[in-house]
Amino acid sequence: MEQKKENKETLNLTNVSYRYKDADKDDYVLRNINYSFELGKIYAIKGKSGSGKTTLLSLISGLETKYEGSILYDDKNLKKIDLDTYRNTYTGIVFQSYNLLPHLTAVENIILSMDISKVKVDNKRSRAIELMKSVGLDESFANRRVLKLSGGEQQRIAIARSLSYNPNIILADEPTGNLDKDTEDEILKIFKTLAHKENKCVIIVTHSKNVCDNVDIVYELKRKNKVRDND
Amino acid sequence: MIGYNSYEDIKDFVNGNYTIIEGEVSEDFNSSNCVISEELASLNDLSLGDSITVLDTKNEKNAYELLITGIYKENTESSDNISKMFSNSANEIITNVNFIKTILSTNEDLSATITPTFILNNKENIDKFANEVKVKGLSEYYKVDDNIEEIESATNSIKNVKIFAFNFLVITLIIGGVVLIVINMINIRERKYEIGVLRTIGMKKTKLSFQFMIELLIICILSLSIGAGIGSFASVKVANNLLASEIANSKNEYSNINKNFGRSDDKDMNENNKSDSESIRSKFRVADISQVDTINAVVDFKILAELLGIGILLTILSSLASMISISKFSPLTILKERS
Ligand SMILES: Nc1ncnc2c1ncn2[C@@H]1O[C@H](COP(=O)(O)OP(=O)(O)OP(=O)(O)O)[C@@H](O)[C@H]1O
Ligand SMILES: [Mg+2]
Repeated sequence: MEQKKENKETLNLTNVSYRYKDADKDDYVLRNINYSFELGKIYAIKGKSGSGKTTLLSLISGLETKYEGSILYDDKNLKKIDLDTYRNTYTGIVFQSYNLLPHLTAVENIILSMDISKVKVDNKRSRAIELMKSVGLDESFANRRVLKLSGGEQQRIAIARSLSYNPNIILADEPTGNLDKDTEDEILKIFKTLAHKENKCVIIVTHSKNVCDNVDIVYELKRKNKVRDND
Repeated sequence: MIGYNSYEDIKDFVNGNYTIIEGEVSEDFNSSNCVISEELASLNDLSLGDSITVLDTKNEKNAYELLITGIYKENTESSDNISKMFSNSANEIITNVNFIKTILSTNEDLSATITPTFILNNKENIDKFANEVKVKGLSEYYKVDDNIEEIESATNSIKNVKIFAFNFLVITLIIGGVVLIVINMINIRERKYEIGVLRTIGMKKTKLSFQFMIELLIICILSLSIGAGIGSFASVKVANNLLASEIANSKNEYSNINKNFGRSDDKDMNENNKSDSESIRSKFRVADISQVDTINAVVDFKILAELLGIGILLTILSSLASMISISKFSPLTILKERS
């Protein structure tokens, strides 16, 4: 349980509660969540299906703002900052349903994210191909339309996209859900390197025991919100 | 006795009430010649090339010779035969103004009615013209008359077409605008997912709306230029066809009129080698107005610019509707709806 001194808290959730608009008054999906995330560490959020993992991720990524409590990014309240910049520069999101643009090619999807974030990259195309290679997709996939890729391939394109503009925080919803153990290990290695070598904060929502065993900290979402420290 | 100094003024021949059956109405409005009616000729046993002597009733010493250059027949089956009986148009001798002037100059007691005709190129000038001739000494016994009503009734149909075209344009624009808004809405609905994805990866609402608008504008300008291209091409063809038939019509009309005057087309052709219609028209004063025989472009740039402006305006207006819907959707809802 040793804490590295240089690790800086980047995200802080205090008493976050959330219920969907159309839900009953007392039917909170998330109730009094108090998590904190630091740079240089890799986290896993686990929980049963329907426990609110995706919901929590959408709050952290600023896609949903009508929650109770507060979420701070670098001590700034998410409700008060420009969430577009927050999403396109500081956080990289890998969605459970990938959310790629089907009519674009793999490479175009990745370049699009770089364009939106205004990140300075000399050759966006070669950087995109490099990223694809790092998630195990060779150059032959570059110009394939996303629609014609398998679920696992699309998932890896989504991971490559989320890394393309070098964000501080990586939020990944079941990023290895469609992958075999070998590829999962490969992706985990990338995430670990990002956290430990490049001082990023990686947050993975997962069911996989393999993933939970390989991260620094595991949060478990239940209706009771039990927290378990793995480190 | 009536004297004229141009073919055009001899209305009876122009509109076909009279037609020459022998000889012609002389082109020479300076020498002593005349045309008479068939009836007058047969009753007095006169024929082409004969001369008639006109006597001054107030001074019988004054006698004038008139050469008969043509004999005409009256075509009007006028209903008022009674009035015809009294006025007896068959006694009319048609000659030229110069001849009448000669008679008048020798005897001050003779009287004549003078009806000069002026062709103005703009109806706005009518009043100015009337004032001018009065200032220049037109006696108060004369009246300046115009055929403005006749002309206006002729141009009225054009005005009606114009009003109709304008109303049509307005209706088209309104319907077009509504259709554009609906199409835009459908477009946005179909591309909700795309919008959702772009929003989740952090594209700004303003930029996204702008992008959609630019896209629409490009489509709008593209389709407008295709439309204007096809439209102008087709309308040039149509206009030229219309013009050709119009020219053929007028040619026909003029050659008919010429026949009334006893002049045949081929005679004119031999006289000068000007183009067909030109030689016919040159007998008339309207020949001064040059004839348009081809149109190269119907769409002028001002109209094109207006169309473009309207198109862009409609596009911006209709994309406003989609912008509102873009800003209303939350990316999460859009993506959730999809999955
Ligand atoms: N738009 C919505 N409106 C109302 N309820 C919703 C909505 N989206 C999700 N929920 C409910 O909120 C709860 C949490 O959903 P969420 O998607 O966060 O679960 P999850 O933990 O990600 O599950 P899984 O592991 O299956 O992905 C579920 O009970 C779900 O039915
Ligand atoms: Mg989920």
